[in-house]
Amino acid sequence: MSRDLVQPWYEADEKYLPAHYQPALLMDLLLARDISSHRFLRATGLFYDDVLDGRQIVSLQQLSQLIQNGDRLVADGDLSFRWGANLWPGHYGTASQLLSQAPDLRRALKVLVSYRRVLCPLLVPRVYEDERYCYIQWLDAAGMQSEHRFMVEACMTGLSAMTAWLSGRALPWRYGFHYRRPQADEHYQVNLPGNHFFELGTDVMIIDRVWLDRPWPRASVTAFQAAWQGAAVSEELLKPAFCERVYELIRNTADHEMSLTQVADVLAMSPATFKRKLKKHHRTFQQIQDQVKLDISLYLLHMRGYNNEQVARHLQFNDTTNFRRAFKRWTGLTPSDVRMQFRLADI
Amino acid sequence: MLTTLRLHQHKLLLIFGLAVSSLLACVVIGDAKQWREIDWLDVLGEGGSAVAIAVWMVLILGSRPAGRVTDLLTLGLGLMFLAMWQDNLDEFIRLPSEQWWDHWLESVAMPVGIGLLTYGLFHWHREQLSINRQLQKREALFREHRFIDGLTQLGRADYLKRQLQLQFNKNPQQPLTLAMVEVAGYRNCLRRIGHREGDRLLREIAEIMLLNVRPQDVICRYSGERFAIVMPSTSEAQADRLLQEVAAAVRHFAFKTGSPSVTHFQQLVLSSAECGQAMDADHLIARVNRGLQSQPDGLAVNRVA
Repeated sequence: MSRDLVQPWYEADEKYLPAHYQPALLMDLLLARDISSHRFLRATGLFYDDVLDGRQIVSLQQLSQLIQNGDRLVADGDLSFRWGANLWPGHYGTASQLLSQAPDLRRALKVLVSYRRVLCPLLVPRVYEDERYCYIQWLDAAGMQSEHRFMVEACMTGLSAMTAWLSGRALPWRYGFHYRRPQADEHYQVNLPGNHFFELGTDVMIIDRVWLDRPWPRASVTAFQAAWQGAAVSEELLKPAFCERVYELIRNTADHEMSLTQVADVLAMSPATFKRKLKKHHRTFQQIQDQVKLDISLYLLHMRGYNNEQVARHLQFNDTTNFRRAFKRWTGLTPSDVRMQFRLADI
Repeated sequence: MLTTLRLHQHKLLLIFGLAVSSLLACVVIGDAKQWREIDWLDVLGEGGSAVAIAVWMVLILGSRPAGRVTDLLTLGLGLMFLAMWQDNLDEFIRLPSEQWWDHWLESVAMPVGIGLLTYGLFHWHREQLSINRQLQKREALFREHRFIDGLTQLGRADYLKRQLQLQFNKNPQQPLTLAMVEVAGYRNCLRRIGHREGDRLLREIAEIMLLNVRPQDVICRYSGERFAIVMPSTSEAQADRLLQEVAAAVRHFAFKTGSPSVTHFQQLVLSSAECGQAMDADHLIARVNRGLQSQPDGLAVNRVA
């Protein structure tokens, strides 16, 4: 097979996810609510009998459609949290086995990131640390629309619930959300114990670094290491999502600035093809570019205590006014308001 | 709704059968009126009423189990519908004057129908009072079906907020205590027993709590495994004793799953706060929630027998 046929990323319309993994779990919850399968499978192109066969594979677009249907059909608004609470470790082959054997948070996150294509394909975790905190930023991998919030709720509940289960106690997470506080926030109180920061501009979970290496009671380091070596994560699995790939490309350049043509070049496609692919994922190049800059400025403002001039200089804005204007366009708030409003870091 | 309607198919068939046969009889015996003879305002008024009554009948039958009250309501509305129907047919078809039955259908069916409906409504009112007594611990001051949790049939968080606000307005001087109780270690239990059994567990715990609170207390399902208990005219100290009793009842509940059966025992984590002066529902709920989160972690270990 020629090299250029194998894309080093995955796209929203690729069928690869077994329907009896997370999709089936969601279907089960819907069936338990007495919602018939033809209603929640509408427009997904799936048939319930095929899912039961265990041979059906689905694309992220189909999973998105299923989520949209489910969200519309269940009035209580807690479907995402219920799904999330049972999402991981789950029964998804090697990935789930490794997760359930993880001896500490650091290695659980390593599994989650390496196997994200199976474990959390729609919303992928991006893990980084500084001297004090570890951050799990949840990146939209498939160009989600109305189901974005649902997936944020599910993934955050998933990680919070899984770490509570494996470590034997609820970990002190802080949660940031890109959207505004929902009218009914009771599900957040119960399912995501800890502090919540709404309208932050990004979706992130923050935890003190001391929790990363604290050993978890049930697991054995030796067993995990052996399983990890044996599993030999394949190239295929490590492929990032298309939107994630573009995000990382821009974020990893020195000045966080790339033109559309430059990115298309790196991805070895024409600008027209690149635009078409972005459109398929309901994204524009500008949106991804903005998200990179916003994420960096949020980190610098909240966690590093930078002032506007410092952030503007770091992001190579011509002057502070330009930065303030851009920031307001991204979040609806000025950087000073945001700094007053959120106390993400302990002082 | 369709399954409930199936219970009443004979009644519906009888009434709509009679309506169709009166139509056929009129067509066979009478002559059609001229176009200009038809009074369209009458057609709209009477026809519209007939349709509305038919819709009411279907809605009532679709939402009620079989029984005496249902029969009375259906018969009453059915006769009223037939009277309106016949009235409407007269607008289009002129019947020979020696036909007595159409007049009889119009003039006698209506008062009899209204009489039966009134009698039925009176009994429906009595029935509703006895249902209210059964529901008292779920809804003290008001009813709103949109805020009912599908699993436990208790009010949800938005119902709780309105209920609290109403209690404040009704008795601003009286102390009111809000408690939150959470099933400790429910998440871990869920991983062992699965979500269907987990749902059943929550439903049954809700029933046990309902049995163990006073008639004036209201229980809501806040979210997930967290329930709220509103205790009007109760100080925190009084509430404490009541909550301990509820917790003891839940502790002794032997929930069984699978075969051969495994028994799971549950513990409640409790938190409560008395409402001070000029406090609103959101603040009170937030305070009690905070109390719950600061509970010692040791309690969160679920015990299995």
